[in-house]
Amino acid sequence: MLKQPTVPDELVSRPIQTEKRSWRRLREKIGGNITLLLLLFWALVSWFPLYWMVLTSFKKGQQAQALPPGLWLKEPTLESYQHVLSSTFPVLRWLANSLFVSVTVTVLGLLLCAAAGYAFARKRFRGRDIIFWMVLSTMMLPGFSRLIPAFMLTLLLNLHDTYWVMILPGLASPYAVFLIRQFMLTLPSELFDQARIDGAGEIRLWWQIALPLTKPALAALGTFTFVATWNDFVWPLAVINDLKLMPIQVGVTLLRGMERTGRNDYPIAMASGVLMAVPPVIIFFLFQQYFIRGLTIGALKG
Amino acid sequence: MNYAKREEMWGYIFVTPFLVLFLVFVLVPTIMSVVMAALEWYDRKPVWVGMDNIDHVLNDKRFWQSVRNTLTYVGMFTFAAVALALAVAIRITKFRNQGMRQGLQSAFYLPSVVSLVAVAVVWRYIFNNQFGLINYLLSVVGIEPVNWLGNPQTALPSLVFMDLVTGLGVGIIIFVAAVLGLPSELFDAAHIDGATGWLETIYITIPLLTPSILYVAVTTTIVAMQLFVSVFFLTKGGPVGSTLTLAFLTYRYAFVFLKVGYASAAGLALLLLTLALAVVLFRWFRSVVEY
Repeated sequence: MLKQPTVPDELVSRPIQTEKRSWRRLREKIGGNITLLLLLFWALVSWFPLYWMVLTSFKKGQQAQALPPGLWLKEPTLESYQHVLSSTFPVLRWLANSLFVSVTVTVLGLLLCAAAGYAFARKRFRGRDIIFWMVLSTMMLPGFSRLIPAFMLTLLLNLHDTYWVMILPGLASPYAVFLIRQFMLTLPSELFDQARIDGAGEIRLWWQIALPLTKPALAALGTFTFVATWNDFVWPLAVINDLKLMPIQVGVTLLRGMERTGRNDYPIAMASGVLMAVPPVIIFFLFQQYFIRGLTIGALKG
Repeated sequence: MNYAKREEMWGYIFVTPFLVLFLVFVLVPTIMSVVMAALEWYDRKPVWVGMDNIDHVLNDKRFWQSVRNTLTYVGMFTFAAVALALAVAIRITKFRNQGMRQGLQSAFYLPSVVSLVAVAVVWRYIFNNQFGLINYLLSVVGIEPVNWLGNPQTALPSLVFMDLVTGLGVGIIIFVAAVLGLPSELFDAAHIDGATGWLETIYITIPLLTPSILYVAVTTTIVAMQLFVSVFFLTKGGPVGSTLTLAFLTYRYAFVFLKVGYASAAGLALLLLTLALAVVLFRWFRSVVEY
């Protein structure tokens, strides 16, 4: 039997009169609608900055300072985009850098973490629990406190201003290993035994049985990793100085209107914002159901 | 080779590539973050300086100001974010239609996939005191313009507001899933006893959600402790240090003033403070819930 939840005394085992009940219904209906309105209002508020960014990116310089501000599009212009893409800075190259680094980290990171998660879930080896506990415990630490040590370490390894320095640190994700391990623990052993009897080798057990069954977790982690790597700012800001190697997030800080804003710069800054927001938004729409599931696996089992 | 030996070997084979990178880029930097607080660097060479950096940091008014600002931000943001996300999530679960629920979850999550860099720049525009949207809306109602980011009283709360607008997605998704995962018998029993609406939410749903609330509170705290990007783009720590956060202070000492020793000590403070907060949250939640 489930334990009875605590319900205030005045409500416990008292017959409800029908008249009171209809009042309560009415009140609930009104209350429900008010909270619904608040919900929609908040959704609107949370989308508004994005709408504002897109809208402003199509405005002319002076229009962005008009009072009252134009809340929808009049005479859209691509001037700002032209300005960003034709600037003396290699903006397209920055976008390509971001894409290359994000895709590489996502693919290689998933492979590495899926292998490790598989070992932690389905293999017995000495030191396994201690190692796993160590991996887990680093999840609770703020990544920012590793910024300077990792900076010095990669400096001493001569990795600054290379693609490696943007790729390698992102590959070993404790969170990914944890999530994949949790998922692989639930796979039935019979599957593996049967395949082993049929003569499958260890690599095949992993690649053809464990991985396909872990697809939902992998899809979720893949989208996470891509979005997080694409949006990463502090690390590349610290370790990349070469203009040609910058990811878009760092590169745009050099563009007009990003760090300091002159009078007519907002549309240009917003256009840069839109350019770097588009890829994660596309990925999000493609994989949104995995995203949601991935977030909840971690939270509910953790 | 017997079966157990073979299994062990394959375990190591699968775990090693990850483990090497984990050691180099996660574990070693973590250990270094403690050691480096006692080092100063001269031309890529470390020199042991003992407690000098730590003394320096602990006697620096700016450090204490950044600690105060960071804790103020974390306190305001975490509390408001958990409460708002919980309220939104519970309202979303009232929809019976699954598609509707998922649509709303996605709608609230979308703003958080957009990079903080882009978001921060939009908000600088929205907060602008001459032609920003917020001041325009206030002027319509007859309120004098406020220099949101330029006034030491309003700058930090403005950052909290901005992050609340964009940063609730993860919490909402986790809470929705947690509410839907609660055993429905409990709600049936409560309904028979006449608990509906608000009462149901306050006396049944929220107490049962305590583990998820703890999870979201801890992860939100960890993220909030590292507040950097919006400070970098919107205020640079100003005005008069009112938005100087521990992360921004650390960054500026390391990469602008090139005082790596001082920055390492500040970074260690960030690490320890975050751990302490997480422990406090765990303790506090354990004392609130009676299992």
